[in-house]
Amino acid sequence: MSGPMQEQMNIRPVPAYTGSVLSYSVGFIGSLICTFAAYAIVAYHLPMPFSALGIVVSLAIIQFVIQLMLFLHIGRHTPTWRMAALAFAFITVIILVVGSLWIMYNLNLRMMMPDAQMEYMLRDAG
Amino acid sequence: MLTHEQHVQIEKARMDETMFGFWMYILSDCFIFACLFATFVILRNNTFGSASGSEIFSLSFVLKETLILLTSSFTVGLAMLAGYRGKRGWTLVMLGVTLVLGIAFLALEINEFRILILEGHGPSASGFLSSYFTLVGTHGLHVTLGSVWMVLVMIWIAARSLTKTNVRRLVLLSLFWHFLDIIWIFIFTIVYLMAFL
Repeated sequence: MSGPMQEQMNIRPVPAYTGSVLSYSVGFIGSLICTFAAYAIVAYHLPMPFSALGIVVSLAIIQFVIQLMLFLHIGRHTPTWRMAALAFAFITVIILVVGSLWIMYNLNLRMMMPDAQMEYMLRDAG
Repeated sequence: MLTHEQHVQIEKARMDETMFGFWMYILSDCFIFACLFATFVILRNNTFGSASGSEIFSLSFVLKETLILLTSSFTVGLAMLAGYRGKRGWTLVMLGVTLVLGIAFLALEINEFRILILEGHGPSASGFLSSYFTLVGTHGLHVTLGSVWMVLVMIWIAARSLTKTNVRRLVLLSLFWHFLDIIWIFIFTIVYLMAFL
């Protein structure tokens, strides 16, 4: 094989930042801790200082951020377009999910029989 | 004849282009899952008199699935690192481990679905179960396609070694697989854990 051809074969498309075995291991162990903690809270009904639901959701968000940073390498080295696309997707997903829940909650309330609605409002909505 | 520097520039530009396209795909897939999650959360209490989540799910079983998928996300990352460093043997070993874990995950999930359907908790039993099967089934379908893709990447790497095209395929595959594990974090939390809270 000639010189330039060989060079061409040897070029690997390496992005600015690819992580290391260490960063992957940290991400893996962090994710394991979050998973086991959330599981233990739910499965063994561990006493919690405040809402268990809030803690479990927080653990999911922490694990999400860990994997985003250490597995998908979102961070300082990330190109701007990718950050912009991610931010756009994030905002859209939030609007989609929160908006759907909000609409359906209201719809539920408005489609009740008048008596049930009154009872519901007195009981749950102050 | 192009210099080495120019080859690097061309390769970098091609990688950026591919990454852009693939990220657009991943993010639009996020919207599909967002719709399915929203549907599930809205319908999760609409059990239509049949079983609710806490009656039919087994947490220890789901923990097993979660750990398998999480470990596979770690090993596919190691495969990608080995690919960048030109270690073909390690790349294939790590991809093989990931594939075995992915198939184990699928086997567990299919078995879970089979038992639910046999016990009369199929997708047509209630709104809750329809949305459950759609959400978790769509994720399972992604894992299935990812596994097929992984077999192809392994064949390409075995046949042609770590050429730049194969490394690019490997990078996209690992991106896709990490994405599937991230979706699973939310399935684990919202579908399974929240059923018991």
